[in-house]
Amino acid sequence: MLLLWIHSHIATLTIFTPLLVAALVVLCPSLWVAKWLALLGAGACFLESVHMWHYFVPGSGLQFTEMHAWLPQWGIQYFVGVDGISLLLIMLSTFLTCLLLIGAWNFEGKGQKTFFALLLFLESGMLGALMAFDLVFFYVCWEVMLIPMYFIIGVWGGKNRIYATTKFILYTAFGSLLMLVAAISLYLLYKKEFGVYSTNVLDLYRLSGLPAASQFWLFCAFALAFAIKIPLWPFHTWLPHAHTEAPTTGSVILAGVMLKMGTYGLLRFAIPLFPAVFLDFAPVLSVLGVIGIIYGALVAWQQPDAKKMVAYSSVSHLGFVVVGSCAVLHSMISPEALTGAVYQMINHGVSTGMLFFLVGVLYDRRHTRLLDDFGGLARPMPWFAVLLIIATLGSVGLPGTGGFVGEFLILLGTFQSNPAIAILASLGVLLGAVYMLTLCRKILFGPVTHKENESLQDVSWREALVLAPLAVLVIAMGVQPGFFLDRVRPSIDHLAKTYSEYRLERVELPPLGCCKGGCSNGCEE
Amino acid sequence: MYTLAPIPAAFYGVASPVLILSVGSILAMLLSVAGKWNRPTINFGFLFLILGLSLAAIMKNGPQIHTFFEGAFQWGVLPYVGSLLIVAVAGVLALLFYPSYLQARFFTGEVIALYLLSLLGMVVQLSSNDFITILIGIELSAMGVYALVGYVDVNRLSLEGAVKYLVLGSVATAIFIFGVALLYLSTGELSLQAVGHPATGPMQVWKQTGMFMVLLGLGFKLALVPFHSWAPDVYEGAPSGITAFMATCVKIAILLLLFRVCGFFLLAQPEWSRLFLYLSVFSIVIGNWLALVQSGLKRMLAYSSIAHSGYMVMLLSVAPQATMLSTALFYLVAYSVATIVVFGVMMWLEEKNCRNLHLDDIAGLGRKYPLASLALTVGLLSLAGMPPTVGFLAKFLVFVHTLQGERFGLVIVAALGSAVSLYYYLRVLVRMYMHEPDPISLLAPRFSWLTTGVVGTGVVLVLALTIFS
Repeated sequence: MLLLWIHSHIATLTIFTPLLVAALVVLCPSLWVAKWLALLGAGACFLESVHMWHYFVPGSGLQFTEMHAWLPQWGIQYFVGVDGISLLLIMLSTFLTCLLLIGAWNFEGKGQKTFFALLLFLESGMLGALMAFDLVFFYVCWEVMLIPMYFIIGVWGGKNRIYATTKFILYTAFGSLLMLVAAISLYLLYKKEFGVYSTNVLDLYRLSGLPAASQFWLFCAFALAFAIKIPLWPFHTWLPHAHTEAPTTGSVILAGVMLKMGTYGLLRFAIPLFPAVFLDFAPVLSVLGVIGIIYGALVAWQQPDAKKMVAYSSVSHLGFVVVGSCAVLHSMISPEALTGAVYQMINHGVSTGMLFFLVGVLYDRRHTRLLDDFGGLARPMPWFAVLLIIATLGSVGLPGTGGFVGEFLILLGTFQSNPAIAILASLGVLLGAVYMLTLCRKILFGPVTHKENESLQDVSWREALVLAPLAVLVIAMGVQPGFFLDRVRPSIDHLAKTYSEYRLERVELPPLGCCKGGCSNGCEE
Repeated sequence: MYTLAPIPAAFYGVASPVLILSVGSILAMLLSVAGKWNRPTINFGFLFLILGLSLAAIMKNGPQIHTFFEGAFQWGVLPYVGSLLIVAVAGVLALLFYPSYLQARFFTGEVIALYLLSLLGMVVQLSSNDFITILIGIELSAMGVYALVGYVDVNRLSLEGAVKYLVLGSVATAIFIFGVALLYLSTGELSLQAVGHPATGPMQVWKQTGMFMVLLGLGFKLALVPFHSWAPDVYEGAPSGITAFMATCVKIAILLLLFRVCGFFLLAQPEWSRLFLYLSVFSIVIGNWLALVQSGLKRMLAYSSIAHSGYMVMLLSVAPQATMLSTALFYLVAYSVATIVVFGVMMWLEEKNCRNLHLDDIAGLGRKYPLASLALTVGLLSLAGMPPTVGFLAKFLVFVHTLQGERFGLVIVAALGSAVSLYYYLRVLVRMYMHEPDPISLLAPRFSWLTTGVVGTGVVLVLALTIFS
């Protein structure tokens, strides 16, 4: 009975378990109990997402849906569900949060309880945004994510944290508020076309046949908000600051999941809502993505600070995701590139998350991240060296790691649509190898230049508990991509197909006012 | 037209809120000379007796429409909701005064009389359809507030604020009266509907001028840019509780009156909505911009409240629609609850320090008083319009309403304005959570059940109204 109830409310439970546990964690008087409570909550949330993974039926569209009226007079609902595009990202968020809590277990500094509670709050926000199929609920979650992240960077961050966190939240808020204006316009457009208010995303998809002229500004506003979040060059300037100043945990979650919100938003909203404008904009976005790839790689190469290097590598990797999402061939999105983009999102979350963890491991021991302060660590820290090399290889996309699969699929799809972009992007792969291997070399190999490095502790059991699953994932995603992609493929194909159908057949809008009776789902009858 | 007619018996029932408030204020004046009976506790009880009775009377009236004396007194939906909101908010603010350092100053007979008189004025100005009665209401409430600003806590700043408010407020009233006179000249009527009636021939000019002056006077009272220059000084000079009273009750009354007048006026002359477009753009841009550079908390909140008036006036920049009033009321409720939370925390912090808070005073507050800081955070985020607070929903509805009138530029300005506003609200959070506490800056306030209850309820409302509205 209980299990049945859990099964039928699984999406809601997954979203709100962390929030509830966060409240309990804050109220809990004992730090020890609070920590275990937080971990148990995150673990429960992970198990819930595993449940969704297990019962997810590939190819049958939106699943685990739940809908309640929220503001019925305005057509705003609480509507959540899961499809192939969000499934992997949900798994990644719940999984990473568990690891993060373990990683921050012996936390130096004050307010650990609050820190754990904020992490769980953040998890709720991210899961809400990933599962929301109501535009207003999505926007609420999208903004809610900012608040805990703001405090995580601002309270527990490095020396320049206040500047970094303010820049982070203002940049994102500018983008999102413009997106809000566009979302409201879209909502009113729907009312004008169909006579009822609705913020249901599935309803709003029906507006995709509108002429490009009326969608132009709406697409721009949505794309801007997502581009800032991704961050796409030239909107990336908040990212290096936020990443560098954030505590390790914050960087991991930022790189691991929050940046994907931008690319996820692109796939979920910007492309299917405004296919016509997207077609015109795809080359622009691709070019910006390629600039991001090369620029991020070049800047990363020159960084003396390991964390900044990883931060800029994120700009470069996310560029790949954008290029993959924008590979348009004969007015069709290439399903290969799209699959690669989705896969690369997960892969980047795992490998870059792991890299940030590893840099954090170094920082905990030496309180510096400058590459020149290290060297020859392979001898005192052999396990660390193994893990760093696995993460690096995953990040540069060596065959046998997840990075290879993602980048290969993206380049394959892109080459068919635009060889020039693909060639330039593969230059980014090359540069990626250059700077990541530089990082590895400077930290791990050569003589030990600093005396204090000779006696550094290797990774502890707790750290190993965090890093080992990530290392396994990096390799598993490379050798068994089918395991991850089989559930995702149908949704991606569906996105690519509906998009091409729109382009090829010019789906006509149903006649005005056919939905006046109040039906909000489909006008087929 | 104005002959003494016999007073119908039903009038006493419908006008009971007004009558209770006026009798209450007269009795309160008597209390001030009652010698040993003039004690804070007794005055506190008396004030809540009167407020409770008037609330009960308002609720008993309900939203039905009753008209007396050819519209000089008219009850209806707007007076009902408006008075309910105003009296309730005033009661909550008085609760916050009880634990504050001004307890002995506020709960005296004369101050309570002033408080009740200004409430009376607000109820009167909402429950009338006649410009003369409205004028009396406006003046009554303004007179009360002028005195409250300078009298509750007497110091240089508060006196300066009171004088500024008095002078500029009187100018505003004068402009308003002049406008009403011109309206009377051109249409021959004093009822609110008259502004919707067409004037003919040369009178057209006078009617437009009159209307312009009426709106100007109300804009002055609301501190819309460019008539805002008094607001920061007055808000800063007044004791925090009175500042909150001005930012909530006075603003609610004037705004609802403005909406009422414009409800008639914009229907007749929709092209005037452009005036409100400019007023709201200026208020949002300049209010938010100047708030960025303030280091005193109350000055910052003064500018932010100017910007909030701008957001509300956005509703008038489009042709009147059915949802205008409900959206405005929702925004007012959301804004008032958040303001009460913010000012509740501020008044609590000021208790032992007896002065205005500076940004530096709240450094490290998050560690010293986590719950108070949490409340302040929720209140400020709601004012900034961040989800999941009710401030977001209010702003969302205002944007929806304005976009329905296709004022895209205005909404974009407002959206960017609220992104900018995030910066100065966040500055407070930065001080609270990300700076080290300064041990000597702030004396530790006493715990107070009343403040905790009020602020706690406010925080719950800020979060719950989003979900269950």
